[in-house]
Amino acid sequence: MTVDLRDQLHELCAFIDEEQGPIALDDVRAHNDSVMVVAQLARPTPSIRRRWLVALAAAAVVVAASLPLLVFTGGNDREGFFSSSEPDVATTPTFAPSSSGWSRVPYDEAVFGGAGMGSVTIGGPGLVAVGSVELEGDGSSAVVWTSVDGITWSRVADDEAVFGGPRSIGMESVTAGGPGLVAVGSADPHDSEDGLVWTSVDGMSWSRVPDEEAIFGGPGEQWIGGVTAGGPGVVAVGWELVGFGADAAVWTSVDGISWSRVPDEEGVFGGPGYNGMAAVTAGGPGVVAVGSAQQDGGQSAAVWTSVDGLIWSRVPHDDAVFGTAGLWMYGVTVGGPGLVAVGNDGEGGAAVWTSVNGLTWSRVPVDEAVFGGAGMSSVFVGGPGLVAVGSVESEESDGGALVWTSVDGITWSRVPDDESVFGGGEMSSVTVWGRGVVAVGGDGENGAVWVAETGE
Amino acid sequence: MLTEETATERFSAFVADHEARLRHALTARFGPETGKDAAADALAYGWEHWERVESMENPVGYLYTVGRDRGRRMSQRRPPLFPAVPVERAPWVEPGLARAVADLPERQRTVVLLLHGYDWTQSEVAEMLHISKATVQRHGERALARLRRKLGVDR
Repeated sequence: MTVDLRDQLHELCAFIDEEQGPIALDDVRAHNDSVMVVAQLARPTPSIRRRWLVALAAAAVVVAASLPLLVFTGGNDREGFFSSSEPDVATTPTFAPSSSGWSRVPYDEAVFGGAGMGSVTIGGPGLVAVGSVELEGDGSSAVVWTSVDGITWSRVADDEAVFGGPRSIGMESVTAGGPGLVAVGSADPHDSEDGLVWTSVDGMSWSRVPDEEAIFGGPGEQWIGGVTAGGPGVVAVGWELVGFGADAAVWTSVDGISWSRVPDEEGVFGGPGYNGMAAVTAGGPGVVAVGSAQQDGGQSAAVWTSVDGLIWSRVPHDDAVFGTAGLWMYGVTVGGPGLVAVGNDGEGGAAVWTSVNGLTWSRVPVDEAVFGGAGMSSVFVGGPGLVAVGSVESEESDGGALVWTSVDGITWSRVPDDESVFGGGEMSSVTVWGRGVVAVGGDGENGAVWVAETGE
Repeated sequence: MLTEETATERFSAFVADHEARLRHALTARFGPETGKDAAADALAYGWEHWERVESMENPVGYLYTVGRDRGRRMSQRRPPLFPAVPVERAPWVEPGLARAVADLPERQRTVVLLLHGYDWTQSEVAEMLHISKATVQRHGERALARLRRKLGVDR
């Protein structure tokens, strides 16, 4: 009989630990001289870093000025690629797409360095993305990016009081709603994590909703990962970790500023093991949230619905649809036959589910050529019908961003891999704006943005 | 002199408390050999800059980034080497486990070993790697699924 893989990993690490032995203090001191050189290489001094940034900024100006003005559609297309209104063509930064139709926005250390981009939405000056950025040795800070055209991005000026906090803090999701925009995430104080909410009128200036312990805190760890305009105004979803399990959790607000937590009903949000919501959208009977829940046979994909965002029901489990092999739904949108959810199948492949009304669901048949060796993170309606994004999970690859498209939500195609564009990346969120598709994510170390034309 | 002794004592206490944590994180990422060397380098750097490092809110997190940069240079992006658990020690460990772990993408390997090999919580992994708990969850699940598929096991 096979021993649980987790026990085997534990044994492997115990063996390594014994073979390795601890690092003795004397070894550290003896190491010191040689390390001084290494350390200087590893972490440039502030003055060197500043010179790099200045040099990069100067280089960027020179390159931008010398680039030929290429528009995706080429030639005399006077309509902006991403702008929904007439753009200033003379200042629209553009570059040529690859054969896949997708391009990766050129890396800019000052904008994307050390960051991970978690979510993107239409709003503010055009587009707004949120995520977190690594701080020098002190955890992470929440961060917001804005763009007027999908190609040129700026980082909203850091404000410790708004974006910073004890140790790790980050934004997970953003939506148009409330006073203009609402972002959600979590902070990790020393012993217990709390959910967090930010709001903005214009995407450029942000405020943090006060962390009320009774609403966003509690004895366990709260994580808010999805937010949408819907229900009484704005609905946010996530989970609360308590002990060795977790319950799904929902927060609601009329205006995005004053929040309430929906009471935790054990039969709806909880149960033995791990239950959590990862994404939410307005649709179906009112609001639909997706995630994963513990079943007798294992972890299954799960859907919750609500008419008003305040009273929730869980869609009954069906092995044939939601499985028990470690499935998760990570994204959901209105589209296709009604609603489309995406995630993973627990066995190294992506998975798609569809629903007419949010209450009954079907799983799109497995197609190894389309879904195999991959995971889907996000889906959005637009382009040919729907666009989903994620990353490569195959044995032969060390990762890479992936894009799928579908006309009806049921039949899907995978955009051909293009190492020069997608290599090493991971897309976490996608949106469609005007004639363009914008996906955000990262490469494990830095933030990244990809763009394509919808052709519509 | 008293200050120097006190700093030495504080650094010694720091090493006693956090050495294993730092070594485990870098071992999960780079393998036992490079991981331990990178951890030793990071601690040495911490000792050299102890006054600044000890004033940080999360010194072990900072030293992880130092060790990570050092590990990258040492490994030159070569896949890590993990030792097979001897059969006489644990015959129930799949013989291909070490190789399958080494073949995982870097982030998946780091997450799955910290979660299930070294018994860190999701929050601890998220904090050390500066990623969200959702990402930790995702990488952990994907890594387990990939290992199960590769080893042909169902648990």
